[in-house]
Amino acid sequence: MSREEARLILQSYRPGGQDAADPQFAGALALAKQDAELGAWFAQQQKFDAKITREIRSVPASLDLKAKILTLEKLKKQKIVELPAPAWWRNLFSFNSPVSWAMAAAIVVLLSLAVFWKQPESAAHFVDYSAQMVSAAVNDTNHVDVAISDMKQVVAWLGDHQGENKFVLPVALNNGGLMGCRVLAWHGQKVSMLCYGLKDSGHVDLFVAEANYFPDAPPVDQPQFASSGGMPTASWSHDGIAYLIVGHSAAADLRKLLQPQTTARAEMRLFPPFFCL
Amino acid sequence: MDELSFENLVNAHYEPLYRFALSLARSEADAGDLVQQTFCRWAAKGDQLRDSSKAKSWLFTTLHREFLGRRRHEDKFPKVEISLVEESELTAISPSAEKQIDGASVMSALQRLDEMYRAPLALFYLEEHSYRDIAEILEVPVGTVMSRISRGKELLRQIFIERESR
Repeated sequence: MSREEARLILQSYRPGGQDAADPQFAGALALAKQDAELGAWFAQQQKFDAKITREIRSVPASLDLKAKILTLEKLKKQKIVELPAPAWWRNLFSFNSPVSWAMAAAIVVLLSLAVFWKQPESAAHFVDYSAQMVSAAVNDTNHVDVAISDMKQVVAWLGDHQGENKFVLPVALNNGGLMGCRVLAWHGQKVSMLCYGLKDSGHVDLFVAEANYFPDAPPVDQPQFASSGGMPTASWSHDGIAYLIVGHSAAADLRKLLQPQTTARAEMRLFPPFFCL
Repeated sequence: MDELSFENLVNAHYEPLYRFALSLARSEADAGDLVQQTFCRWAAKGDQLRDSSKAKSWLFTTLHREFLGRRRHEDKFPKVEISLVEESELTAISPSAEKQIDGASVMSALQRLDEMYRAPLALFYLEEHSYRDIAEILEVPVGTVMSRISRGKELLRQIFIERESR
């Protein structure tokens, strides 16, 4: 092994001694012991490396970041409580019973008629949309597509992914706490989801979509509080956009979040009236 | 993975991951996002990793891929050209220059390097991984990692020497 080869190998030898047992370094280390010039070079190299290692390890990572990461995991674990099917329902249908089959056929006929009668109406009701978005809010696998905490970057990302990105936010949702976003599809329409971990209100998810898609879009500039799948929700419309917030804490926290004094202008657009100070 | 073990994983790795991310991303906010996104991916897919001893490498690999993906998409990390040294001889740093080296100046110097050198060097100095692990994380051959660490160190020294001479 030449001195140059030994130098190249020894450059990858960590100063903390973690590689002492690695046979890859044995030959180069032995040569450094025999060759005074190489030995001096290696000692100096290790001193410099140890200094850089100490300094790089002194760079602090904020505890806030750790808390955010742990919040992300916790929010993924929250799920809608599913009520067990009533026992009578399980026993109602028997594959061996002609009566059961007759009942099933009757139900199919009745459902078909019901669908026929209601055909002109659109299926894109806001209540169905809310239920679907609540499911997305408690999704424990792919909760967000991307973790970004900067609103400008989120707006750009949503735009790049054909998500709705022209929205007006309550101040409480425009003052940090942003954790990531996602673009979902609902009846062929793109829906933007913004995920927050807020100090006072905990985890909330905001869903933004075009209001004109819903025949029963929520009231303009007047948040409507409700519950869907056991989760508190608030919805309103403004300037052609339908907003839905799903809270993961108590309903009172969601109301507090949307109190008028906690809201203000975001971006270059008018406040909804209930947002005015 | 249960909540406790996820918390253990975060406790064990979020700091070195953040430092690696900071060396790559050049801003604290972007570094924080990269780390969050990495753990996000772990929460979604980490259960598929059967060998828990590979968790650390998986996290660093995922963070690096995430960084490369964002960089390609946003093209927001312009290269900073540094004049390459002509030969591989050890460049001497004066004791006074060495004394001035601190965490911020190391990060700032690393961030000036081309990503080709920055990533392996940051991983090397974090001391969390052997050169073989680094090759696996960065998905490049072992020989490439060794030569990039060697060249990267020389460039790093050059930066400190340049700073002292100003």
